Amino acid sequence: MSKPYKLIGEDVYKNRTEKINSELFTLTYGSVVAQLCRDYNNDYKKVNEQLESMGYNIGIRLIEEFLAKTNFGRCINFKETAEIISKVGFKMFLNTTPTVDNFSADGKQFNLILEDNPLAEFVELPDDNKAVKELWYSNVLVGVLKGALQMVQLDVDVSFVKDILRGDPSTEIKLRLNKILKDEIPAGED
Amino acid sequence: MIYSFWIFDRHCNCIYNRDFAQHKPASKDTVNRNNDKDEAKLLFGAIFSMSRLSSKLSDGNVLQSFRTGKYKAHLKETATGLRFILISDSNVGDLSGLLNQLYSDLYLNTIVKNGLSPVDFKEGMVIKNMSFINGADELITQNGDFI
Repeated sequence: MSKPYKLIGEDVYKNRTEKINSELFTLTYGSVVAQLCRDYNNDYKKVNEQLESMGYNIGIRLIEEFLAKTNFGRCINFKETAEIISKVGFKMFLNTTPTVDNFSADGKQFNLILEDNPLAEFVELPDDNKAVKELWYSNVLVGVLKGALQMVQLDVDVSFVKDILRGDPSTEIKLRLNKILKDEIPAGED
Repeated sequence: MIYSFWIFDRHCNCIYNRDFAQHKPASKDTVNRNNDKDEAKLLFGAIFSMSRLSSKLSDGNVLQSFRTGKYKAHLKETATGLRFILISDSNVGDLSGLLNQLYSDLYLNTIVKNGLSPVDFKEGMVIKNMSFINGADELITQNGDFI
């Protein structure tokens, strides 16, 4: 089942998405993060939180665009979700396809390895010895994933585990499915 | 002929409703008139129960429409739990194209991409955005099945 998603992702990216200059995008995101660092006096934990919450608000809207353009319904299992996030979701919005790796035995956890992270191009973290330990520069992605998945009733813990900017060998996001939320039902039915 | 258009959100509330049957050329009097009426609750209940029934009959079996003696209800349900419903007379064919347009073009551009509009509606909130209302009227009234 992995092949069609790749094709769908490429098709949606090519024919159905508006594109903007990627350097402009990278620089805009960079100035947002830089501004947050100034606003919070380099308290990187707060910056991470703020980026995540911005991402969440993006995610709950982005999911509708994703569904409108792909016409997907709900996934059968979390493996399918992983494939779709990587091959269609990331492809469509960021033109990159992270690798799905380390699927846990219970099928509820996996890592996304971003070989190529458009947000982090040209970026160097501040050399205050704190940023490399505390700041997750691309933390907006964590919020986006969390928000988008929550709207399709998947309660997922998302967090960065590695980032090349911090000197790690790769950039990785961990996703763990907590539970599948129940659809709301009208009053008086069960 | 298309009689009315309804949107229910993930909290099962009617966030938009528009009646085309009584006023032509359509005046805006019938926008969001029946959101809390019994009719809305019954319609939602019927769609809800039939969707459940169809998915119980077979996995991935999605309810698209159902027909009674005089009416036909057309449904599009998104993975995020939005339900778009059109009520027409019983002879109208497939309206899934129109429902897709209402969601993919109109709802996306005037609600989702509109920073001033919520996407998670609180109880009692409805869509009042004129670009949405006018856009929906245009798409529906220009559809070949409208008259």
